[in-house]
Amino acid sequence: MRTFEYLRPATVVEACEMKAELGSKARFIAGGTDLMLEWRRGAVSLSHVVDLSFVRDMRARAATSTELRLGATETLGELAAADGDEWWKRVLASTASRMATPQLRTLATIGGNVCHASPCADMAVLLTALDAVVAVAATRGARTLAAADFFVGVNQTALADDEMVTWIGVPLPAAPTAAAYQRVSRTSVDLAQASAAVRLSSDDGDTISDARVVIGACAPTPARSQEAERALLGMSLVAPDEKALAEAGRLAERATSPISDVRCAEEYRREVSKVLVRRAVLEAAAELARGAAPVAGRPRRAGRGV
Amino acid sequence: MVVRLHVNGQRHELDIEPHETLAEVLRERLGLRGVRVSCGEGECGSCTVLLDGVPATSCLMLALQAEGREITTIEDLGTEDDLHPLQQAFIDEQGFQCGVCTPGIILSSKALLDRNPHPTATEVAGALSGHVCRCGAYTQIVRSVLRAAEEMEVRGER
Repeated sequence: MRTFEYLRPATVVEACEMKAELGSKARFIAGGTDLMLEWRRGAVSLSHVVDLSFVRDMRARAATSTELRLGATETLGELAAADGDEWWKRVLASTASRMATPQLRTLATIGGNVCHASPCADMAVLLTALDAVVAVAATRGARTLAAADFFVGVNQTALADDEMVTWIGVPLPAAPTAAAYQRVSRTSVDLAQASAAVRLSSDDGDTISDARVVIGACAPTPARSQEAERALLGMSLVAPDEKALAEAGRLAERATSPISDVRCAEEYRREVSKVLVRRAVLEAAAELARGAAPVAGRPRRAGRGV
Repeated sequence: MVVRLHVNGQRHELDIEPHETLAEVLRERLGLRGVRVSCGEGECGSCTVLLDGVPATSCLMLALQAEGREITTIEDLGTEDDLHPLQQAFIDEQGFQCGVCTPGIILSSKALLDRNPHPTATEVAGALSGHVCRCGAYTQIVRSVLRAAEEMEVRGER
C-alpha cells in the first residue's frame, strides 16, 4: 500500500533534527492543503511527513513597536478573524479572508502559503510589499531572508532541503502607515488572476513619504516596482493626483511578465494589474488620510474620522 | 498507528494508516456516512466538518492531525424524530435537494449562526462560499439558513 510514516515533533529543534536525518523524501506538513493534494495525485512521493501543527514554539504571534512576528503555522482563518485597529491586522485579515474557502482557511497556514510559492500566492505578494523577512531554521543554524529574496521562481523558494520556515517578520514603520491588497479572480474562491499589494507611509499626515508597490500572479514571483513607488512619493493622501496614479500603474505593470493560462489572457493581466495598483493605492491612501492607522502601541492620532 | 479522536462527544481509539484522511476515518472506520467526499481535493466543501466549532475540510487533513480537536459531524445535530432547526428549515425551504452537499452546508451554517445569530443573506452567502451545490439550490439554501435563524430565535436555542 502507498503510504508514509507520520512524525510529530514538539519543538522546532526536534523537527529540524527529524528532517536532517530523513532527507529529501521526508516533507514538513502543516495544513497539508497543498502537499496532500499533490501526494494523492501522485505528484510527490513521500517517505515521511513531519507534522508541524503540534510544534508549540511556532504558533505564537508577537508584536513590538518596530516588528510583528507571525508564527509560520498561524492559519489563514486565524489571520482572517483578527480584529483590531492596527493597520497590519486589517490588511492581513482582509487578505487572508479572500483566500481559498472558509473551510480551507481553518487548515492552511501562512508558512505553507509562502513555501508553496505559487505565483498567485496572495500572502507572498502582500508580504513582499510589507518588506517582510522569512525566518528559517535547520540543525546547522537559523537565518532570515528578505521576502524579495525568498521567492525565486514558480513554486520555488530559496529554502535548502533541510530548512523550514519558523516565523515571518513584518517591520512596523515609525511613520503612520497603511497597506492594501487588491485581487481579481474568476470566482471568489479561485486563485488570483492578478493582484496588487501597496504599503504607504506618511511622515506629515498629508502626503506619501514612502511606498511599496508589488504585483502578483503576473510573473514567476511577486513583482516589485521601485519606479512605481517613486512616482507615488509626495502624492496627496486626500486628493491623489490622477496623472501620478496612472503613471504608477503603468510603471508597475512594466515590472511584470504575465502569461496566458486557464484563468485569463496575458493582455488582461497587463490591463487589470494597472487597475489593481490604482485601487490599492487609493484604498491605502484613504485609510491613511482617515488617520485610522495608529502605530502599534501608540495612541491614535487626533482628527480621526475627519 | 493509533489515533485518538473526539467525535460528536465520544472518544475513539483507532488503529489507522498514517495517510488516512479525517474524512476516510470518519466514514469508513466510524461509519459516519454523513461526511460526504465529492471532489476529494478541498474545492467543493461537501466533506466539511467542524473542528472546535469551526468549519474545516476533512478530505485533505490527516486524521492524525485532528488529535486533540473536538470534531462535529452532521450526525451530532439532531435525530430523525427531533431535527435540528437547520435541518428542518432545509426541508421546509427546499434547501435540501439531492443531499450530497447538505451535511457540509448545514455544518458551516451552524458555525455561522453560533457566532452570528442574525446574519444577512450576504453574510450567509459569504459563509457558504466554499460550498458547491450541483443542484443549484443556492437561493433556497440561503433562505433555509435565514429561516433557521428565525426559528432558533423563537425557540431561544443559542
